[in-house]
Amino acid sequence: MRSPWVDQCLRVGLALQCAGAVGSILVNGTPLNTMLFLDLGVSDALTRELDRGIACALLLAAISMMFAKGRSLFYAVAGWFALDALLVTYNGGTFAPPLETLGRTLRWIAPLAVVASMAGHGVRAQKLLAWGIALVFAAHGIEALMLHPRFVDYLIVTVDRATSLRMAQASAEAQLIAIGLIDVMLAILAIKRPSKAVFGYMAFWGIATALMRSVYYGPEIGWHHTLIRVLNGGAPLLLLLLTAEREMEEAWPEPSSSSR
Amino acid sequence: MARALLFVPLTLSLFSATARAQLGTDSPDSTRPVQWRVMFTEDPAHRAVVAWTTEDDGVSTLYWDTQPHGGALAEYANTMECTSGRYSLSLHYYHHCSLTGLAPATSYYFVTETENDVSREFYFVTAHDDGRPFKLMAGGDSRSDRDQRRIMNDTIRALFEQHPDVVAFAHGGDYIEMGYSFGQFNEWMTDNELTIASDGRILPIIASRGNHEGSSDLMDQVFAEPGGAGTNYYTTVIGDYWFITLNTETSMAGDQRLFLEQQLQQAHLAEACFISAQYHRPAFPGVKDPSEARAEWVPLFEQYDADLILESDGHILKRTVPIRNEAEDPTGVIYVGEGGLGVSQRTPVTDRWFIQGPNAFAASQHHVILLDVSRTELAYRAIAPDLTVVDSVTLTSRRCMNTLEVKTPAQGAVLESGADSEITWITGGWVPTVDVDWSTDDGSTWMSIASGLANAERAEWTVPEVATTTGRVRVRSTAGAPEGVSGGFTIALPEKEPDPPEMPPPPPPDEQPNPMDMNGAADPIPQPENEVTTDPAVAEGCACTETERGAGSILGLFGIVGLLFLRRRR
Repeated sequence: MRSPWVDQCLRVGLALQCAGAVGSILVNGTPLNTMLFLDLGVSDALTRELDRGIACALLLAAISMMFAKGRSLFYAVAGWFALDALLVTYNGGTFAPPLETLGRTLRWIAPLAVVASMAGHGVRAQKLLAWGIALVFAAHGIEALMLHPRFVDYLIVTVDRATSLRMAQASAEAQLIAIGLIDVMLAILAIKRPSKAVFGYMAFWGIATALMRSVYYGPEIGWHHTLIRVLNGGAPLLLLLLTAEREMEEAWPEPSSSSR
Repeated sequence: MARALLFVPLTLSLFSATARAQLGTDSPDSTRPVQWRVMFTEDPAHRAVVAWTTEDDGVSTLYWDTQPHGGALAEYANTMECTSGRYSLSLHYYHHCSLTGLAPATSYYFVTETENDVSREFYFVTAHDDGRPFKLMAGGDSRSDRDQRRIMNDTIRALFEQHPDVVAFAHGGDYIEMGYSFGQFNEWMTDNELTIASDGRILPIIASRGNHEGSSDLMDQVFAEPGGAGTNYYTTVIGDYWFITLNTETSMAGDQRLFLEQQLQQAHLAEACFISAQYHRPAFPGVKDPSEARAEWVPLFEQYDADLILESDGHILKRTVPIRNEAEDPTGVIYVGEGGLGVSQRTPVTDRWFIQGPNAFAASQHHVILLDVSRTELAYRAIAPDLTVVDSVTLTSRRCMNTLEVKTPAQGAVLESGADSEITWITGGWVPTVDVDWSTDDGSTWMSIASGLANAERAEWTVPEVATTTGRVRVRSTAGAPEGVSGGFTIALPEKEPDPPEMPPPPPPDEQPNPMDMNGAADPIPQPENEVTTDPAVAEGCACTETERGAGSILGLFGIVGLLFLRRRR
């Protein structure tokens, strides 16, 4: 990533993701809380204090992330989101827990991409982002093919709110299979044959599905669901811009440019 | 580097899931039947599923009858071969026997057999199909604290034994932590045996799916596919009570929403006295974000005036204020829950408006819910493991009333004392027995005609020999309500021939036969005062009417005149 704006955009996206996580923690708690409370017998009061501490730390991270020059902050954020993703499967209670973990990959890979970018490994950072978004799309694609009930409802309710037409469940499920196939195909293409079209569609669909949460739950409840997924659209958007920039440079090479 | 990073979460996730799936320790032994369950779904008065577990497969047979036979297989009137299959991701087998055509409110005794291994005799009682009062137990979340789960199962058994009119237990889901772990379900089914009463009566389960069952097949195998495999939404009709089980782990905005609306419409058409629903993830949670039920189902509950909704998942005890249009409203719907059958209890977030104030309740408390349902009232009680009631509320039916109207004696009727008369009345709803009373003073005081009379909507009555123009008859349910009072009527004393002078004196009033011919009720009956008279018969205590006494005097005069006439002729 040669352009500093890309790095800054990624930091903004991460900061928004952290803000979304803060909202989610304050309402629903963390998977760490669940594990400590239910499996290890830590008191409810203590786990809630721990949650508040994590929320404060993430809020501080979101603010300082815009200016941080060191890597440790990003490693810490990556570590937290990785733990969060793992504990989701450990705790269970979701539609397909391992896929839920996989679907959260980008949340902890994105900070590592920033670290790679800070270290001057632009190509590595792009690959990390591409893998991250590919795994998110793959996980969600498989969940769609499994007819994840919340995805069915997102479709029905979003179309209803937009058009006042209540889609039949069978229609929503048929569309979900098509969406799932497209998602899985895009995940493969993002790694094997990355292109502007692939990242463009991923950016569109990532933003659309993140916004769908706010439409579905209403903005009061849905805002943190949307924010925490902001990179699902933001990362492919960055990759799209970088791909476009690279294609432009290939068409109009700068004499002094050096690729990494 | 990226590839290595990706393998870490996946490997760890799968490892932890597998490790937790193997937590179970209890195991059935060969083909010996264990872990008996009875499930109710749509029609608990006529259908039930009996299920059990064995370690090995074999031909499974159910022997059943409406009479106990102590396990003597040859004496059971009915046998049936059951369907069997292997629990997913396990080496154990389930056996399901679907019984249909059962009689309502009837005890069914059964013995389970797999190959030649036979169980002891158990029994269950089908639900009734009329409007009689009954009880239903409920609760949810028994997933992560096995010791507490066993304590709660002991509590459930104690309540079940204490209240034999409990029809079933409605479980709100999250039986176990990992829905695809047979080991955990194995433990749960073993623990569930603790709910069997000491006389072998099994508490039927109305099962719903929790998020920790997810989309697991195991839940359907354990509970015999309640409401259909994977869908798991259905309506259980018990008399006039409609209890809708919903599934928050499948689409809530699609077919299930249509189902819910249809069921609520049908409940209204059927004049259901109370409508309840149970599901897992709460619309009005005391801890976390609301589930999608808030947007998809709550408007329907409000539109069709559901009464009490049972939720789980939050691991607290709560009762919301009555809610309509996102505000407290006395005409609203009450939501209770949220799961305390064996999971550590959270502290409720009490700044939420719907669990604040005198009309709401929230606490960190393990609990079982006991619903006492009649046509007119639904009493909710949350009961702690020590059987103390920690919260309660009683709802009055919006749709049903028990009614009673007395048709005869009609207003203005004149009844002849001593004559046989018929009291008739019409009842609506559930009035199984009645008390019948009468009054001579327009209802100021009542005297019993009969009590605890089976409600045949009529009763014979010998009208007492008491004159009144302000008579009333009252018919009242033995439970105290409803009651009906007849119009005012008159009791006239019949005209009689005068008694001959040599007629023996009547017995004193306390030896007179009771004028009432029903129930032997002997309330004091006011007697008319005797007039002062010179007539020897009357003076000796003749209970004659004025007319009779007048007629006697005239006859006497004729006699005297006749005697004087004869003497003069001589």
